[in-house]
Amino acid sequence: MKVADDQALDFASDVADLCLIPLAEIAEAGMGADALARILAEHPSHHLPVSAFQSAI
Amino acid sequence: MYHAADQGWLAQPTVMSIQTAAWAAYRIAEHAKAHELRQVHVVLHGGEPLLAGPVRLGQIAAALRDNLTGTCALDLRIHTNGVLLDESFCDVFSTHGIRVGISIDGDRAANDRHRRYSNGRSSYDRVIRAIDLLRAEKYRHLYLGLLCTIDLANDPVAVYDALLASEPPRIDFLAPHATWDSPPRRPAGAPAAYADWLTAIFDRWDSDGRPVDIRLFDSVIRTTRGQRSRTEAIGLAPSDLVVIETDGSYEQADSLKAAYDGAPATGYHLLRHCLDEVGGHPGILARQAGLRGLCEECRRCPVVASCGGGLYAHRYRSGTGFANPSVYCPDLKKLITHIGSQARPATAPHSGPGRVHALTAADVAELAAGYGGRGAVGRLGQAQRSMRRALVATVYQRASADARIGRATRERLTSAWDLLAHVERQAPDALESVISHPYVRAWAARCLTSLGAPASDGHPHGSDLEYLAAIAAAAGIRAGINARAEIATADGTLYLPSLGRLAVPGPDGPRECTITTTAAGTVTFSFGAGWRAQALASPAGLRFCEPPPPDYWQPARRLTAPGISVVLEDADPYRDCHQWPAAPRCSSPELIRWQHSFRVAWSLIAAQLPAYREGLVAGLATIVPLAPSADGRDVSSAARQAFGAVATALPADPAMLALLLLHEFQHVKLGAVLDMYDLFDRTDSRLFRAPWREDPRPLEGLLQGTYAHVAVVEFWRARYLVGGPHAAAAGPHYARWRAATAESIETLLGSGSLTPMGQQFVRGMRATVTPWLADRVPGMDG
Repeated sequence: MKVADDQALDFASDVADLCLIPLAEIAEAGMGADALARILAEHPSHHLPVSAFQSAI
Repeated sequence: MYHAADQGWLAQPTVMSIQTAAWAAYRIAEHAKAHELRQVHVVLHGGEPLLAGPVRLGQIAAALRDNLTGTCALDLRIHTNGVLLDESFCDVFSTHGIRVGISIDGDRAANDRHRRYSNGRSSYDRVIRAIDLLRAEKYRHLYLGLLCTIDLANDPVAVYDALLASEPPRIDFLAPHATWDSPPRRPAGAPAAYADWLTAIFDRWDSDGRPVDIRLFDSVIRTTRGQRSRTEAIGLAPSDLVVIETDGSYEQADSLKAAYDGAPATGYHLLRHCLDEVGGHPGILARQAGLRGLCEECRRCPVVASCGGGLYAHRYRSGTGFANPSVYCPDLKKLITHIGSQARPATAPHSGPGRVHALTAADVAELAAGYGGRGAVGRLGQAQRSMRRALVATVYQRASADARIGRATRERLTSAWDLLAHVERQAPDALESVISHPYVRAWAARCLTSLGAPASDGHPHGSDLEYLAAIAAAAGIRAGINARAEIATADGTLYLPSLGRLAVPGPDGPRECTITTTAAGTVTFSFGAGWRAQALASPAGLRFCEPPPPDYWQPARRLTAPGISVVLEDADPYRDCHQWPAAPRCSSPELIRWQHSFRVAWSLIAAQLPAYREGLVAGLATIVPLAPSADGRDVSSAARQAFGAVATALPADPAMLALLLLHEFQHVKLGAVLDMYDLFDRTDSRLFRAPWREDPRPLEGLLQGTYAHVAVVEFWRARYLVGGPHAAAAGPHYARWRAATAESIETLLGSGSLTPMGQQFVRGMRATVTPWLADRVPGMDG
C-alpha cells in the first residue's frame, strides 16, 4: 500500500488504471487483483441517527 | 517441434502419470501459497495432450483443482490439434473447467501443408469437426480460440477469413520456430516477408473493425503504448512460465527446443525441487532482465520497448548464444512500425506500464476540507471505474473456472462474456454506460464473496451470475448492434441495468428469456414460444411497441433539477445492500413527490451550500428509495460497494432530503478515497467514543461519521446564518453538531493510528470546522 507523504504533488494509489484495457485482457491476466482484497473487505456500517434533526425543520 | 534441435521428447513418457500430476499440483499450490498468488495459469500441451485420454486428463485437472482450492484461482487450458477431440473429452473439460485452444493453419489447403497423418491423409476435416463441437452451444464456454502457425506459402487473407469463419473468441499467429543457425525460409527479395504476410491480415482486420481478439496484434498495440505484452513472443516483460515434462522434470519454454539439443533442460525435478529453485536457474534468470538482458543492437533499436528482442529462442546463434537480435528482427521492426502508424485514438491514451489512479494535492485538499469539486470527484469516479472493470472481469474469470457452477449457467456466462467483449470492441461507451451503474459493483462483490467461499459454504447462486448476461444484454441494446443474449430468470422478472425491469406474467418457476438486438435498434424479448415483445432502443431507453406496456415494462426513471439528473433506482435487485430495506417500485404519485422534493432540496443545496454542488453533480448518479422506518424516523444510507448511489426514504420535508443527500454523499466520497489509500492503521481494533452514537465505534466508523458531520454541521450553519423562520431552530443543532464534530476530529488526531495522509486529511477537516467555533449561537455558547 502506498501512503503518500505530505510533500507529494500527486497521491499515487495502488489502484491500477484499467479504464482502457479490454475486459478480456483484465480477466485473462487477473489485473486489478491487488485492489480486490481492499474492495471486498468488510467495512463497518456508518449509520447515523438523524431523527434528532427532524424537529428543527 | 518433433523435428527441432532438441529431441528430449523421445526419452519422455507419452503420458504423465497420476503420481507425477499430483506432484505437479502440489508444487504449483506450494508456490501459489508461498507467494500469495491470486491465480495460476496451467496449459496442458504436448506433443498432443489428447493422447492422454479423457480419464487421465480429468485426473490431472482434479489433482490441480484439489490442491489449489482455497489457495488461488486456477486458469486451466489445453492446446491441441483437435484431431481426437470428441464429446467424451468435452464433457471432462466442462466438468473441470478446462478451456480449449485448437491449432489450425487456415483453410484446407493451408492446413494440409503441415498437418497430415503419417500416411499423408488430411486431418483438416477432423480439426473442423472439433472446432464445430466447441462452437456448439453445449461446449461454447470451452472454446478458447485458434492458434495458427504462419506459412508464407498460404494466402494471408484467405487464412484470416478461414479462421474467422470458425468464430473463435481469439486468434494467435505464431512464427515458425527458427534460429540464426536454422533461419526461416523467405522468398528472395523479401527480407521482411513475415511482416508483409501479417500486415495483410492486420489491415484487413483493422478495416473490418477488429471483429476478433488477435493476440499478437493486440500485444503490439499495447507495447507501443507502454503496456505489457500478452504473449512471450514480444515485449520486455520477464518470463513467468515453466514447463513440467511428463516425467516430472522442469524445463524452460518449449520454444527453446529449436535452439540446440538440451536447451530447455534445467536439471531440476518435481520430486526434489520447488518452483522457487527453478526460478533461480540461470536460463530463467536470463529472461528476467528486460532491456538489460538484450544485445547492444537491440538496446539501441527504436522499437525495442515493443518487440523486446522477440521470442528468446529465435535469438539463438552458435557461438554467441542468445545475445543477438531475433532471426525475425526485420519482420518485427516492420510490423511494429506499421501497426504503430495505424494506432487508433479510441484506445490510445495510456501513459505507461503500471499506470495507477492518483489524486492531485489540490484534490486531496478539497476532499479533506469536506468538499471536492468536479475534478476531484471525477478522479475518484475514474478509480471506481477501474475497480468495477476488475470486479466484472474477475467474476467471469473465477466463475468460469469454478467447477461448482452448473453447465447451463456456465454456457450462458460464456455467451454473455463474449457479447460484452464484442460490445466493448464495437461501442465501448455503451458498455461503460451500463457497468457504471453503481450496483454493478455491489453485484460483483456479492458474487466474488460466494465464489471465494470454501466448497462447504455452498456455491454462488446461478441467479447472481445471470446478472452478467443482463449487463451484456443492456450493453448490446445501448450499442445498437446485432446481438443475442440468453438470461435465465427465476420467475419471469428480468432487470436490465440502466434500462429497467421486465416483469412478464406467466407460469411459476424458472423461465429463460432470449433478447435479440439489431443494428436498426429493434430489441425482441422472447420467453420461449409463450411470450414475445418488441421494442425500439434509443439513448432515452426502450420504447415497447408490441404488445404495448404498461404492465410488464418498468423503465428506469430520473429525477431532475437545474444542472443535475439522477436515476431513481427502484428495480435493481442488488440495490438492496443497505442496512435499511429498499422500497418497492414507486407509484406514479410517489414519483411526483420524489421529483418535487428533489427539486426543492437541490435548489437549497445550490443556494445555501454551493461548495458541495459540483461534487454532487460529478458523483451522484443514483438515488434508491428506502422503505420508511416503522417508527417514522428518517433513514438513509450509503454503501461502500455502490459508489455514486445514495439510498434514503423520502423525508416529509425536502430540506431534510438535502441534508440526507449531503450527509450520505460524504460517505460516498470518503469510501472512494479509502478504496485508494490507507488513511489509518487497519490493524487498530480499538473502539472510540463517537458523540453522535451511544456505542463506541471502530476507527473507520469514527472517521466516516466525522467526515459526514462536517457536511451536517455546514447544513445547520447555513440554515442558521441565512436567517428567516428556520434560523432559530437551526441554531441549537448547529452548536451541538459543531461541538461533536470538533471533538471527534481531535479524537482521530489523537488516536496515533492515522497515516501521514490520514493526518493531512483530518487536519483539513479541522481547518474547515475550527473557524465555525467562533460563530456565536445565543443560548448555546459557554
